[in-house]
Amino acid sequence: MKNVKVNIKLNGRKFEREVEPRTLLLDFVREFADLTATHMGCDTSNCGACTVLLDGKPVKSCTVLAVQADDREVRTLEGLGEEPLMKRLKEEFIEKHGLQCGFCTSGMLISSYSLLRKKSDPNEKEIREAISGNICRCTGYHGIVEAVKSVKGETAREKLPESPELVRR
Amino acid sequence: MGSTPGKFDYLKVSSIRDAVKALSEVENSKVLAGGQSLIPLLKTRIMTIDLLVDIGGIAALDSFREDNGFIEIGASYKVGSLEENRSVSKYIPALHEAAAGIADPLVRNMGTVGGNLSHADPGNDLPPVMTALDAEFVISGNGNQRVEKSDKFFQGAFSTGLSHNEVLTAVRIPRNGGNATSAFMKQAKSSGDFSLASVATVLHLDDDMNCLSSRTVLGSIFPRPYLMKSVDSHLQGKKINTGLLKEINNIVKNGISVESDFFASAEYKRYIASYLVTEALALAYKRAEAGLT
Ligand SMILES: Cc1cc2nc3c(=O)[nH]c(=O)nc-3n(C[C@H](O)[C@H](O)[C@H](O)COP(=O)(O)OP(=O)(O)OC[C@H]3O[C@@H](n4cnc5c(N)ncnc54)[C@H](O)[C@@H]3O)c2cc1C
Ligand code: FES
Ligand code: FES
Repeated sequence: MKNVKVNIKLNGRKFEREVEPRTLLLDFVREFADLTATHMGCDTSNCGACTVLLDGKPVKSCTVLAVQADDREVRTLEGLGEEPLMKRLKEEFIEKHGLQCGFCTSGMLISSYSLLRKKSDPNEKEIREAISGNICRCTGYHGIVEAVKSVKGETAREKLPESPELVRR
Repeated sequence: MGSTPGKFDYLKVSSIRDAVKALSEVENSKVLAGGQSLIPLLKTRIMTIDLLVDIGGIAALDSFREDNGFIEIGASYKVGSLEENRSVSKYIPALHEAAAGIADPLVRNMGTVGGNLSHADPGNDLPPVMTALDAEFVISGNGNQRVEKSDKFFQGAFSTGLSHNEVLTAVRIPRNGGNATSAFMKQAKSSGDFSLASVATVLHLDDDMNCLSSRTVLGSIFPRPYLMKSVDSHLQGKKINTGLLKEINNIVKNGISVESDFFASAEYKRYIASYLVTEALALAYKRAEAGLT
């Protein structure tokens, strides 16, 4: 079985590696690129702890092969840390008790972030729908929804800037 | 580390012809689309394969085309794109509803229309809608192209009329002439779960709102999408009102023979199927009355 070269623009930087085709994007990110904000929860495509952005859209990296991301752009939570919108979300997650153990949090943040990038003023139903692929065993979701609600609208009002490569979607 | 699939070779093709060729050459090979059904199977090693043929690089398959007579959706068109497509939500609400109810946004960003249909999981939501819409399945194989309707395409649970070396390239939905309306509803144990039962209905009405013809399809309950002819013939020539819906409810409840399984009892299946049929019909009709479609 032949290895294949995978070249991913990972958090804005080129990252190339020869891998077995069966390598999951989750393992590519965690084991090869040492980016451990992306978590493995269920490993069965159900929990969303492994959420990353693939070409700007959130996906479950435990259910994507690294080869599928070849020549594409992947963002993990590490690569979004400097985004003003992400900073605000993190502040509000802390403020509104949007996390307890923190295991689901990177996925929750990425799903919430991409919702707000798509729609700056979502209603509660839309917020709950956007995080419906992410399971939290601790918070009961209320704090998470409240956190997203406190940030919503800010993107439009204050025109939070975003890095250029995240604009294309 | 995540559970790792057994070893396989991987080929990313850039044309349908190359895909068909690669599939023909290696017996134990499979098409990879979004991977949202296939990768979990490979990870649990319920399935092992020798070659994965990734069609994600065939740009032409990620398409949506509106023509005079039909709407053509390329096999690699994402379920998430379908959900967001304005034309779809406006003209084919049933298709929008089905797309928006599949799994969760993360899965919808990867999963494709072609994959959802080709996988033919009885719990998948696009097969009953495409059946209700009387869609055509465009299939490419060794040097030839053929077109099938739903009754030939879906053959059983996880079983289609696709040969091993054939690729589903598109589905064509005939454009509804005149006064047509549709709705889709599903019942699942929790948000994002597979359907226990689903119903898709497409109604054609005359100017007086009488039902000219309809296609009402039950999903998930049987191995393949089930066109409920007894319901459609009962609707013919009539206006939909509470009385008629009660009759329909009884037709469904008494007309389907189901067995209890791990997921639900036979009684519950009959109840939920008849409930969804009447609700979906009422919703579709209400849309027509409101002039929404
Ligand atoms: C957590 C979770 C929840 C889900 N819930 C739902 C749900 O509620 N409703 C629902 O409908 N689905 C659900 N799904 C399934 C999901 O919609 C899949 O995306 C879909 O079944 C398969 O599409 P895919 O593009 O991912 O195909 P893949 O997984 O890549 O392929 C599936 C199968 O189809 C074959 N195939 C794919 N494309 C073609 C083609 N063009 N020609 C020939 N063969 C092809 C492959 O060889 C494979 O055998 C869920 C999945 C997950 C992980
Ligand atoms: S680890 Fe990927 S969905 Fe749970
Ligand atoms: S904070 Fe513990 S799982 Fe969400």
